[in-house]
Amino acid sequence: MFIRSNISNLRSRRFCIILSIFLFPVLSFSQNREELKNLVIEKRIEYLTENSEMSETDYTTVFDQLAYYINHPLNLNKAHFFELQELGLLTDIEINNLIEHINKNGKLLGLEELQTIEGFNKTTINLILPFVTLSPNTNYQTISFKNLVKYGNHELILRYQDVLEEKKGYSTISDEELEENPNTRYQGNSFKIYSRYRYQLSNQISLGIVAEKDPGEEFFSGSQKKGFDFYSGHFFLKNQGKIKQLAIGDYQAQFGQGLTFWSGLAYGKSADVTLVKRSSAGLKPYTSVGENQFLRGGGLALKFNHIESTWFYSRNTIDANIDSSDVDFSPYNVTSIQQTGFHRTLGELEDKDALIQQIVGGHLAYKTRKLNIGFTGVYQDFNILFQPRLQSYSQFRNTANHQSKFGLDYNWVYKNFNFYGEYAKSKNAGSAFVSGALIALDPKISVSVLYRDYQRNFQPIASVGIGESSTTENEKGLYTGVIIKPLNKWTLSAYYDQFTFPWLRYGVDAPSKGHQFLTQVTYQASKKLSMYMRVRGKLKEKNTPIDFSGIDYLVNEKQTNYRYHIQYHISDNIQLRNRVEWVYYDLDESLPETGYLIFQDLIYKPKNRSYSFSFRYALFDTPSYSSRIYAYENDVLYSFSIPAYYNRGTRTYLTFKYKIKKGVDVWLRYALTYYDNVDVIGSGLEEIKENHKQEVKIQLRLKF
Amino acid sequence: MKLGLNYRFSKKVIGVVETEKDINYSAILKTGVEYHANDVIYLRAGMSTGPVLNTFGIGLKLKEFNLGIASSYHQTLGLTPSISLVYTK
Repeated sequence: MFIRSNISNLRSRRFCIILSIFLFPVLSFSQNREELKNLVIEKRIEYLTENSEMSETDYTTVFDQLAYYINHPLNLNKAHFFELQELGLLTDIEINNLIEHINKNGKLLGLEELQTIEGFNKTTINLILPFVTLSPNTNYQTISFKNLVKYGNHELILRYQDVLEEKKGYSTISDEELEENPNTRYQGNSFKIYSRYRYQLSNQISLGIVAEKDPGEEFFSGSQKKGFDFYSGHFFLKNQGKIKQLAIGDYQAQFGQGLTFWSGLAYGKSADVTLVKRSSAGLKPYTSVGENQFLRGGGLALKFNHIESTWFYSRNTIDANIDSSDVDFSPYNVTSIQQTGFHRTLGELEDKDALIQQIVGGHLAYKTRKLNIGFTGVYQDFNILFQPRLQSYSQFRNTANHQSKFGLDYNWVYKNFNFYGEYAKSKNAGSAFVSGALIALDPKISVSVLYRDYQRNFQPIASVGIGESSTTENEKGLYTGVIIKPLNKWTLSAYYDQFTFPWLRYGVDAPSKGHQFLTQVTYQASKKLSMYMRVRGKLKEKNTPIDFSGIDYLVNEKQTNYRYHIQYHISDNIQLRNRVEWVYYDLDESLPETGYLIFQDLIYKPKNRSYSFSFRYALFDTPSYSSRIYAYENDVLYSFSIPAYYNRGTRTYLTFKYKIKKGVDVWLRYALTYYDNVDVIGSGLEEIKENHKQEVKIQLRLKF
Repeated sequence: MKLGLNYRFSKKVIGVVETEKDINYSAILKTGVEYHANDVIYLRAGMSTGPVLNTFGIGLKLKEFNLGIASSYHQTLGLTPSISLVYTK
C-alpha cells in the first residue's frame, strides 16, 4: 500500500519496499487506511458536535484535507510546517519538535523514529500514521496538460435519500384549504438528491461542482426551473510559486483564532483539550451543501518569504425575511436571516436570496515556524436596510447595513510552550479578546488554558470564538484543560470551563453564569480492544419554567452525562462496539429526568471481499427532548449523521457497501426508528402520524 | 481532615491531589501541578472544588530566599492575589 504507481525510478522504489517492511508490523492489524481515516474523522465529528445542536450539518469541507491525505500521505521528511498544521492532528509544539529533530539528525529513516521525538507518544503516532509517509513526495506535480490528464483524479457521487412515511407537508389537502393557508404544504417531493463531481491534481488543483435538492423542494419544475435548488462550484489552486492559494467560485476564509473572520465550522470544547486552539487555513475550497455559510467570489493568498498577504471578495445572496409593511423605510426592511437553506413552501421561497451580502477582507501575516503575527480587516455590506426586531437581550446588535471589523492575532511557540490569541474590534462598537496557552510540561502531561472576553456589543459577522454560546458575544470565561498519560495504555483528559454572561440572553432575563466539565479515561488495551469512560456535566442559569406575570427569575439547569464505550475486534473481519450512556437532567431541582441509551454495533469487513456492512441496534428511553442523547452513526461515505435519541424506542440501521469493480462503489442504507410511547413523530409540516420512521439512502461513487 | 498524594511525573513536573473534609461542609477536592522551568523559576497551577477556584502562581528560588507570587480566581469574586517569602538557611 505504500508503493505508489507513479514512482518511476528504481532507487526510490527500493526505498519504498524497505519502508513497507519497516511499517507492516505497525499496520498489520485488520484495519485498512480507509477505516482508520473514518475512525479519526468519526472521533473529530463527535468533538465538533459535542456542544452543538446541529445534527444536519454537512461536514464535507471540514474533513476534505484528511480525506485527501489518506490517499496522498504527507511526506514527513519534506513537509512544510504549514502542511503539518493543515493536517490538523499535531499541536504546534509537536510540529516544531519534529522539524527540529529532522534539522538536527537528518531525515527520518523509519516511522518508528517518531517515538524518539519529544512529545510524540504512541497515541499521537497512531493518530497520524494513516496520513503520513516517508516515501519521496508524490504530492507535487508540475502543472502541464499531460500531468493534468495522467495524474488527475475524478470523483463523481450521486446520492438519493427519502423517508418512507408520509409527512404532513406532503399529505393531500383540499384546494380551498390550501388557498387559505398556502404555506401548509411543501411544493416538491419528499426525496433528497445530492450530486457532486470533483477533479483533483494532487494537492494543487481542485475543481468541483455540488448540486442538491432538499426534501420538499421542487425538481426541474415550478420554482426550480434550473433543476436543483442549490448549486456550488469552485476552482482552487495551491502552492504555485508566490501564489499560496487562489480561490475562484465558492470558498471559505479563516484567520487567526476565528474572532475577526472565520467562515465555516470550528471545534468547540471537547475531550481533546488541545483542540480549543484554532488552526486557521486561510483560504479553502467550499465543498459542502450548507447554503448560507460560505463565500462566493474570489480570493488570493500570496507568499513572499515570511510575509503572507491574503485578499478576498464575496458577493452572495442570503435567505432573509423581509418586511415590506413599514413604509418609512424604503424599499424594504430585513427582519431576520434564514439559515436552514430550505425552500419547500411558498413562504420559504419568498425569502430565498432576498438579501445581497458583500464582504471584502484581507489578512496580512508575518509567519515563521515559531512566530506568527497577523492582521485581519473585513468590511460587510447588505444591499437592503437591515432592521432585525431587537429585544432587550439583543439591543446591542448593530443594525447598520455596513459593518467593519479588524483584528490582530498571534501564535508563538517557545520551547514547550505555545501561546496564542486574537483581539478583534468592531467599528463603532465592542471588542472581543481571546488568549490561551498550550503547555507540554512533560511527554506525560499537557496543560491547556484559555481566557476569553467577548463584549456584549461586539458584532460577530463571521466569528467562531470558543465559548458556551454559539454567537461570539456577551461572554467571559476561563477554560483549563489537561491531558495526562500516566501509563502506557491509559489516557486521562479533563477540562473545566467557567463562564459568565454579563448581559441578558435569549431565554435568560438577567446576567447569568455557569460552568461545564468533562473527565474521560481511555484505556487502549491493544490494537484490537479499546474503551473509554466519560463524565460530562454542565450547569447554567435559565428563566424559571413557572409561568407568572413579571420578570422571570433564574434557576439552575443541570445536566450530567455518563458514558461507557468499548470497541473490540473479535476477529480479523468483525468489530463490535457497545455503548451505554446515562443522562441526568434537571431544571430547578424540581423536574429531574434521567435518560438512557444503549447500543450494539457490528461492523463486518471481510478481507479480500468486495462488500462490507455496519449494523446497529439501539435502545433508548428518555422522558423528553431535554434529556436527549446524541450518538454518531455510521453512514454512507461523505454523509455524516449524529441524531438525537429521545423518547422511548429502538433504532436500527444497516449500511451496506459493495464494490462493483475498481472505481465503482455503491452504498445502501436503511434506518428504522420505532417509538414505543408516541403516536406522532415531529411537529408542524414534518409531522408523521405513525410510531415509526424509516429512512433509506442509496449512493453511487465513480472514481476515474 | 486531609489526605493528599504527590506524584512525580519527571524531574520537572510534580502533580498533587488532596481531599479535605470539614464536618460542617461538603468535601473539597484540590489538584495542582508544579513545573520547574529551570533552577530558579517554578510555575504552579491548580484547582479546587467547593467553591471552584482556579489558582496559579510563580515561584522564584534565589539562594536562601523562596519568593512566591500567586493568585486565585473565583467566578464572582475575581482575583485574590497573594505573596510569600520564605528564608531557609
